[in-house]
Amino acid sequence: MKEFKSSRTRKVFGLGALGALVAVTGGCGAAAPSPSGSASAPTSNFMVLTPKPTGQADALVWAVYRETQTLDPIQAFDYPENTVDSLLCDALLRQGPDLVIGPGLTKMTNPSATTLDFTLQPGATFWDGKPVTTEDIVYSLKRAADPNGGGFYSTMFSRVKSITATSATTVELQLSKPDYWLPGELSSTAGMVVEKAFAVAAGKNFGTVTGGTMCSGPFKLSSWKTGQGVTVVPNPIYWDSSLPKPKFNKLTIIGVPDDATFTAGVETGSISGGYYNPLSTLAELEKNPNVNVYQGAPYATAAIVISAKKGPLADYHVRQAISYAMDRAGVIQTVFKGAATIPHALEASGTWGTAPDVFKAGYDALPPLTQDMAKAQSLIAAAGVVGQTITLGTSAGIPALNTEALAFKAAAESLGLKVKLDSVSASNFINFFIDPKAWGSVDGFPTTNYGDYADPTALYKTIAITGGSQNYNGYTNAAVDTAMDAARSEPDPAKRAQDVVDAQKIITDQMVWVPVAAPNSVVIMHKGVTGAPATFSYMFGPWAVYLGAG
Amino acid sequence: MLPFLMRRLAMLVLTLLVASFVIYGALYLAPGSPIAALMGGRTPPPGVLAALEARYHLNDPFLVRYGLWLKDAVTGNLGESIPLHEPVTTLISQRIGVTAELVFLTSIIILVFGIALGILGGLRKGMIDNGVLLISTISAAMPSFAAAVVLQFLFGVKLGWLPVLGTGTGFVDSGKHLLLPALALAATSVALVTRVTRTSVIGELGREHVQTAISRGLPYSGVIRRHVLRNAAIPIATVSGLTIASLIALSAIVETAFGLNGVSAYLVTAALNKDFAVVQGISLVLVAAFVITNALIDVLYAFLDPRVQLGSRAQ
Repeated sequence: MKEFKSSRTRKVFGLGALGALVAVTGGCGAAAPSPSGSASAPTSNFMVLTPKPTGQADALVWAVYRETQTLDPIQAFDYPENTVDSLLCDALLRQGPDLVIGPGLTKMTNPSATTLDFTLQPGATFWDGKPVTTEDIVYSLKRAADPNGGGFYSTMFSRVKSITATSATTVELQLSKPDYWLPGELSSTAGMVVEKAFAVAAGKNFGTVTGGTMCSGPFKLSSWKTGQGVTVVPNPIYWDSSLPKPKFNKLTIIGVPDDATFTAGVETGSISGGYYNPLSTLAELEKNPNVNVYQGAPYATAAIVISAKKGPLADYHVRQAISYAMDRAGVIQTVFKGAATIPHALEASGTWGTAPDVFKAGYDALPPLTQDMAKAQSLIAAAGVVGQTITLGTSAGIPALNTEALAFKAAAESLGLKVKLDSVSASNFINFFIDPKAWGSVDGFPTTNYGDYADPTALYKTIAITGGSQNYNGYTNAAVDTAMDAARSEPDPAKRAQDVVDAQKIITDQMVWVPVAAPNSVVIMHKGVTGAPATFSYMFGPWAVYLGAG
Repeated sequence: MLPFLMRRLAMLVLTLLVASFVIYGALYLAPGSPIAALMGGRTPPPGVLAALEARYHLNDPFLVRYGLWLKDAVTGNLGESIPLHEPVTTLISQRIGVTAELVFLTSIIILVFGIALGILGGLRKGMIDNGVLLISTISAAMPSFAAAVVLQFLFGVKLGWLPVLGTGTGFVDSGKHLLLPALALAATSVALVTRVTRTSVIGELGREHVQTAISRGLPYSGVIRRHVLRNAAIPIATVSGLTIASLIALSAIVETAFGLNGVSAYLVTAALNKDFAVVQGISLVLVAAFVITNALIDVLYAFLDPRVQLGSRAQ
């Protein structure tokens, strides 16, 4: 057996080590509890759950990179809000620590290709003791689906024709066409259920500091003062006894933007833990005897977005050439301090929540994107673009992304291309993603990106389908469109995954985005605290029920 | 006294008006959008962007937006934070306490150590003066962000004497939590006050009436107290006042480094997020604090030096 984690040293796993091994701890002596059904889980190579807590902790403090801004699940779109909302609210379906989607607040059945039935679990109540009703579910889903409802997920419901309660316990979604992407979205914040009466009474204040929130999750809101964090306590009347009882009295999620502050905090124990990657002080924390660092499967992806509609980068052969010339190992050392792997494709093992075997086979069939200057040179010579100029958008204010852009620049320059950098302020960087003028003015820009649920589809559908929300270069490929559309309508998970794998082959070969690294999910905890999932599931599922003293 | 206060009050209102316009204008012209803070770097789904811009009036002309803000501000409503949907007055009142405590503690450190070291250096030539110069040089060269890291590492992580994060509860506990931040914030300013104090004490010592008094054999301590320190007090008061007034803004770095929930760090966050209403609100508090501190110093001049009339300039 191989050592997967130790508090002092961390092994970097080559992708060759991918196997059916179940995660074990090194150094601590206790086997990591693996959730049921995780034998074939996508994260088997990495840790799923960190060692089980042995005792009750009192007050814990969890760090996220910035302050939480809203508790309204339909406005949760980033790390802090997702981390908090997944503790407070149950979604219709639930992503476990291994990111496998199973029943949540409801059980899903599929009476016909265009009908999804969600049946309430018995005994489900909100924190105030009121039972969760189908009315609450219909209200919550309609709220998320309403384009004018202020939420970010309405487009996920594009194939939903109607949302109705068909019995006291069942809500039925009628679809205009089969949509097997929807259940994944409903296992994420878009499918979280809030109490209708509470939300209506709170009006536009729902989810704010003043208005608060009312959900049915394993933790309830205790207090929230902006700047001092969101404090949650275990929900004593939680309906789902299949989840472990939380082993702490309260948990405060605070915003800690600064690497040095987080490091000092977790070393002294004033911060219990946090999910941080990249973190400039990772190597120091791994050596600190008071801190445990654990790594889960790579979920988020670091990549260069291609927005060029003309010029050298519009030719995928040039992108292939630059990809071969890139020093990804260097980026992994510099930016991720080793906590990342060289990708084969954009979506690595952490995203394989459904049909992991199919996705693994598809991923393994693609070569790792290691440096190969000979191939790079022959591709660039054939393309005949030497001496031409490309422009990259970046921000010196976001060091990790800037380093990735610089690595891409170095690769392009080594092949005789000229590279101009358009460096903007950190707060302005988002314009590359939301302003057509900004992304139109550059040929590419770096990103860290992730989908809403553990399926490579969740990202690919935004970047490679004609008209996808992150398809900045107007990429169109009939085979990709066909395969992805077939996947969306395919009921069998393995066949669906195979369609996506087929699309992935083209997406990777043509470098729709250029993968840079597959960053691991990294959880860092002070020595007295343990149990948190090491996977990306903290963004979607009730991660803190596993947390406690140990 | 009353006319003086009235004049100062009118000046405060005018300053606030001009400052609010300049700050609003600067934020408006600076690149970036408050939407970034809502999205956290991810791509919003189609349609969401336009809806958000309409909701927050981001496409209205500058003067319309400033006018709307000013109309509300006159009635005491400083607006609402875009990402948090909370009234700015609430957000400021939750944070002003921490900053006030931090500035107060830092001011005491600056005044006590700065003036004491300065007088010591000024009066005792040789080893002691050189020692004071050395300490103040090191201290001056220690910017608060560096001091914060060093103090955290030394007293928090290595020695474990003092907490490195947060504000604590209760008088003693908050004092413990704020001590390191206050020291980090005081470092540069202590050096400044020390140097000014030392120089003005030496300057006063060399003046004719002081030399005469000493040569006539008047009691040394009396000469120092009545002739040297009294006269040296005006430059010391000036520099101390300005230093303390600027601490409110300078504390941002220290508040961030020590995870303190103060207005100053929040101002920086809000400015980066282009959270207009919050930036306006906090800036006005800072401007008001600066103007008021300066008014207090002017009053102090009159007490320190009877020749100074309220409202005139220090001689």
